[in-house]
Amino acid sequence: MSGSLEERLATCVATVFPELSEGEVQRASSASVANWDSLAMVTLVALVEEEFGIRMGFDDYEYASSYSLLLNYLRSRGANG
Amino acid sequence: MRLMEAVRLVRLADPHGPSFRMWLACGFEPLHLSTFLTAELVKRLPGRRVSLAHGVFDDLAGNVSNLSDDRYEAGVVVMEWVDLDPRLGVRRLGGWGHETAGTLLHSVQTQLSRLFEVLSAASGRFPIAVSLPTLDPAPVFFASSGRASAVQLELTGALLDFAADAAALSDVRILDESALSISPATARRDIMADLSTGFPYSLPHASDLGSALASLIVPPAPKKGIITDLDDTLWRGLLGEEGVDAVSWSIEQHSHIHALYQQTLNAIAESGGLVAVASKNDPALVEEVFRRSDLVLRHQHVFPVEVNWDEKSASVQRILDAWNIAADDVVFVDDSAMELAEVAAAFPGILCLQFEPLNPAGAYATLLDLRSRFSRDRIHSEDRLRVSSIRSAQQPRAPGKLHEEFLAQLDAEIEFSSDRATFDGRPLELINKTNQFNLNGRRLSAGEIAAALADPASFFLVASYEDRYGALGRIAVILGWMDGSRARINTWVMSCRAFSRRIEYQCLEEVFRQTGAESVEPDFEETPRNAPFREFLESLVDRPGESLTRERFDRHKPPLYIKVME
Repeated sequence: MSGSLEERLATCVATVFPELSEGEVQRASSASVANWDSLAMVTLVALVEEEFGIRMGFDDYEYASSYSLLLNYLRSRGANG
Repeated sequence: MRLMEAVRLVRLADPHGPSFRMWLACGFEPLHLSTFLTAELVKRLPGRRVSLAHGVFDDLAGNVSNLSDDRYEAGVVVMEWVDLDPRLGVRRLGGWGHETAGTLLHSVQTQLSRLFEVLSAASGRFPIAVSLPTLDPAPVFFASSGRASAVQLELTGALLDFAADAAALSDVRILDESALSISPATARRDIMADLSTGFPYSLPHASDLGSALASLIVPPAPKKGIITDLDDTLWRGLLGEEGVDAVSWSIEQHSHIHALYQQTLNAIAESGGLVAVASKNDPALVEEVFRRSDLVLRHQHVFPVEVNWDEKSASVQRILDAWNIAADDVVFVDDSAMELAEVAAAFPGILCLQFEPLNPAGAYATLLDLRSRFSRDRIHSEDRLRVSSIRSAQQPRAPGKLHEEFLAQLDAEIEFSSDRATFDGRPLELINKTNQFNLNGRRLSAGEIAAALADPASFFLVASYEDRYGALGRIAVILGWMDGSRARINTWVMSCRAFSRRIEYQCLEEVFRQTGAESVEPDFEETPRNAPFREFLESLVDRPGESLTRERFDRHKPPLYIKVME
């Protein structure tokens, strides 16, 4: 997938939560999206790992609870678009 | 397939299509395997609403027992060593050493017996795909590097005994591990995911396994016919240049790969595939080679033999006409890239494979590919009749009055069966591979047919036919149900070998007779390939799919000469 870091992450989130509009994706979190359960979180982590070629340890799963946390996490891991 | 693509494909499943429900039995969290498997089935079953259910963590045998539920159309069982003894996995601590190893065999055998019991009870309802362990067991066994321990081999032996017994169960399909491309086994396990989420597979392995299991549940339709070239394909050498005795297929003459190819063609023919020759050659010389006693290919398996100097595509067209099948059901094999390109341009659907006589590894890979493309789970008696019935169908026929005389002297007999016991693999195969004389192109699983037949209003006919030119076996299937005085038909297929004998009219006559219906309503739907069915209906009604009354049928049906056997 090509594009910026933000775009690629947004695609991952939108794949798991297709009901979100483009604008909602960037504000999405487990608090605002009802379907953001543990199964969705594991799927999102796997998509992010696949997309960015990284592994997220179990301790890092907490970052998969919102778009913005994941974005910061990816930046801290040096992932780029 | 990437997980991103799989997640999207799962969402593409038609929410309004007929459902395809499947049960996944495994002892781990199915997570991404479930996604990949569903996505692969969505790809293979367009228009179906695919759904996949699974049971609880850590109870494989309990999950397998759920396969006895008649709500499902298919089942998948994914075994791992940890399901046979938790000490063979990595999420429990049971000790790794001689003491543990010594007690493993008994517990694994006990668990395999239990699994066989529940699998046996569930079998026979619908296809069940079983994957044996694809991950190495945890290193319980201490043996020097590279050496298999006796205990490990005993466990493998017990597993293979289970697999052999399970493979003999009705509709149970064991996954051949060679169908998996991810190797070595260390690349299959995701230890981090296993420890954190209970999902043991790497994403590539989950994708690979999902694809292989989906292929077991919805296998690709086997090819129906193969058309082969002769020079440097069926044999080594150019017949016209080198002569009848110089062309070869032997170890001594370093041309044994051609003997293996001939042996492959025999195997294809003996499992019901059609074999024909298309060669630019001298027909008299080819006849002489076909009379050589050392020819591995059996002459009676080959029909038609098109040997001439025409373009290959013209020969292929004549062969397809004789077989009465479509190009996309056929494989064309030739050593010449130019001939392959010419045939491919004329028949875009045909599968063209190049035989490389000077590259035995490539040629052998072609043979394996052919075996796979023509493989069938079961061989029916009808499969062995196919070539002889096509030969007889090529008898010259005259139009008009002479054709009536021809039909009248066929001594044709037809037998209709409505005995549910006869509804075995052959009718199911007819329903799922017939394209031309097919009412609507819909495919049905064994489970869907069983459900339809369980309806007391349902009726069905399986027709077997023979005439003076030989038996065709079971060639037509009709499924429907009574709606008051109307017989509604939703499945009707007939083998293309049975065309031009008015068998379809005799079948309709039998539907009226058996059901006592005042009218018949076929659920016709046009497909890219069912023009023969449309033309049949148009001979009886103004628009295909229109209701046909008994009175109208009697007025419009042609003379029928087939004797109905009781």
